[in-house]
Amino acid sequence: MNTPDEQDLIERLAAGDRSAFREFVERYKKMIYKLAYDMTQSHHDAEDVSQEVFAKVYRSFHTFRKDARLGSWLYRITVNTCRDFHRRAPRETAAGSSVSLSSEDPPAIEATAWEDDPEKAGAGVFLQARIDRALALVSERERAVFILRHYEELDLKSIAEILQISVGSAKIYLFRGLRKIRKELADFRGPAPTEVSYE
Amino acid sequence: MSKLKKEEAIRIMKMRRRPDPGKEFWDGYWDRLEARMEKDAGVEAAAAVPAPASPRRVFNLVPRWAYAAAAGVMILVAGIQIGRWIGPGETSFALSGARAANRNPLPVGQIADYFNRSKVILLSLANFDPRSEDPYALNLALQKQVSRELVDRGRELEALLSGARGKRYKNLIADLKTILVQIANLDPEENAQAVEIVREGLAAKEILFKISIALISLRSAEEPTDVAL
Repeated sequence: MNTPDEQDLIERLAAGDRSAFREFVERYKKMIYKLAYDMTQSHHDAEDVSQEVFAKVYRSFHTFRKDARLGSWLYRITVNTCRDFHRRAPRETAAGSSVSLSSEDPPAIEATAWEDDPEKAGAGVFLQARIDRALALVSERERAVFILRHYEELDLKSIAEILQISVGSAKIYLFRGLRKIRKELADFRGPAPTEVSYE
Repeated sequence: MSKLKKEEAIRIMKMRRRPDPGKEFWDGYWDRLEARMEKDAGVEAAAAVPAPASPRRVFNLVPRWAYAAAAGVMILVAGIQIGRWIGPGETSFALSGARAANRNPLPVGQIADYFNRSKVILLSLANFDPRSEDPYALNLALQKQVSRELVDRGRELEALLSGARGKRYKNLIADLKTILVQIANLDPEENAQAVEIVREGLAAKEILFKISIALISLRSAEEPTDVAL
């Protein structure tokens, strides 16, 4: 269910309140950008996709059922927009996937735990590259399920609702995606969990 | 190569870090979004088609069986028209073809002969290489004489041609005559250069290709169409 805050926002958006839309954007921009970045692995594409998502929301908010979960609806629009984005402008990477890291993107590693240790910093860059490569190797649908499950921490029922598939199918996509990822990371032994943590 | 354990793979994948686009990016996000949406709205407005004029809405009101009935009537009417066009007793395209031929009789044999003779002259020039062959081997005097004859013959044929098909051949004969006149007037002292000029004219007007097409067309017109349906 939506929170009272969300419900209030939904009411105002449905009434065509422009300030509510700005509030909506400010509230969800990071969430949508984050998911778009995970799906596209490109800062510029993520911004493009996230803006497209908000434009779609603005145009089609009248189609939103007030009893539906706003978060799920936004996730669904974002995943679908990423899919459309890739179909419109497919780009090949070395891994043969349609996602890529642009050289103009901000560095994927934040200067945190590794900044004082060049060796660890190098290992960190390598680790990020391996993770990105593993994500790029899985299919678009498998990637979406994996990201929603392990990065967005959603349960399979919610993922199935977002992707409009059955829970069984979501399980299969997750299993297949994880199998490919495990194979890709087979020879890799990452740093101990205490050294780096996922935000 | 053994796979990682599931939990280990997930643990590694969760070490993924996303870049932070920075405060400036987030501060300007709304302005960029607003500008984009205004731009998109402008494009959509320009591309919008007036809805009341849309025939789709009208068609949506018509039931599907009405389309099927209309299609049936159209097929029936088309069948009647085709029947009338073929006419009673004439059940083959051979007959209708012969009837069309009688309306516009063409001197098919004469035209084909003219094109064949012209083609021989033109091919000898088109295939002549002044750098490697003896210019005298071309026997230009004979070709000039034949070209003159063909120019005269072309004038006679033009007078015989009429109708749409005739006009097509007439145009080709006119182009041919231009080239043949050039050949007839070649300077014997400047063979190589003159031949080159003629060859350029041939290529520019695609005369040889047009002759080949015309000959195929004439051949099919000569052959009896005895395939009865």
